[in-house]
Amino acid sequence: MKTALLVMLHGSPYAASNAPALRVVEDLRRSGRADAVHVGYLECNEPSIPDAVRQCVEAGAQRVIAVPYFLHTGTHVACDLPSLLEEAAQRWPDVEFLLAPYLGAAAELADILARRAREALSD
Amino acid sequence: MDEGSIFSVVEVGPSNGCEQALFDTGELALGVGAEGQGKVTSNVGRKALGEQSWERRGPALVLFSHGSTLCGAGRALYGHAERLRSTGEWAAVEVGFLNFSKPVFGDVVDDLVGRGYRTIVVVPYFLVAGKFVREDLAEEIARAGTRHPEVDFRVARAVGYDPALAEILWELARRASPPVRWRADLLAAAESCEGRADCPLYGRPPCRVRLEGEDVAQ
Repeated sequence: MKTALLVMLHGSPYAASNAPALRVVEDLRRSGRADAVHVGYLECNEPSIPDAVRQCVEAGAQRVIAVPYFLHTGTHVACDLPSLLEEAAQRWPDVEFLLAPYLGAAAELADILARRAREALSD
Repeated sequence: MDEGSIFSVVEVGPSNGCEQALFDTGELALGVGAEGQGKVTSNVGRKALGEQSWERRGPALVLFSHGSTLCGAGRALYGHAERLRSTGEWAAVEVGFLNFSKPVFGDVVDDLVGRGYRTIVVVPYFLVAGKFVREDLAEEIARAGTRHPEVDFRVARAVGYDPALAEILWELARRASPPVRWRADLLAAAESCEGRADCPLYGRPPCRVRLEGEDVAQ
């Protein structure tokens, strides 16, 4: 089954603020783990999440796994992103849509926070 | 890790004076082994060594976050704080918020200084150092620095780019779930209902607050 990853970013009006996440997405693409990796923005940028879903489907994805690139269970993660995916699932009933836990839910993030703290102490 | 382990650590962090006292005693009795930690091993020792020993405490971490109107929104962050505490690398690990959620950053700093910490590393729990970090956190630290000129504040980079993140995303993708689970985070938020009138769940199922004597969650 052809699977596309859809990384859902909040999006910033400042390109520099989107750059670190896009670099991570590029790493993920290069890793070759997924058939395809797409990006969709909740705000301020193109493609929007619905447009990105359409890109996934038009590229032949039979399964779309959406990964929220968010640190918190705020209202975006808890309400907005599930709503967008529910709309997508209604529109493309033949495509399987799955929603991954949000980035902040990954335990490994604590290792990165510790790394940032050590960097600050060694400056 | 499963969500259960994230959500099992909500009750961390001192919330009143009683817990605070226990927490401090525990730190001293265990002689938490962070670098630069004073050699104080008991309350008696602490009193004997006096104020000097307080300044020898190792660096404290404050995970700085925006905060949310949604009840329970800080759970993931509390989970990270607990993980960082459990490593024993840091003398103290606390969470401080800018808006909406409590405790607020300034109170957390005041508390740490009161407990004797003189080096405070602030780690922004933000994807990028945008306005909230560059301006709001800078102002918070400037204010804290005025209150506590003896404290060495270090501000870490935001999460930003990290070579580990791509693999983390892939592992999250492998844990993806079908639609029946998509509202799980919303339901989980209600589990730590604080009865906040500005919470988007307020007064609606599964919010637990009672409105006009009626338990709306049931």
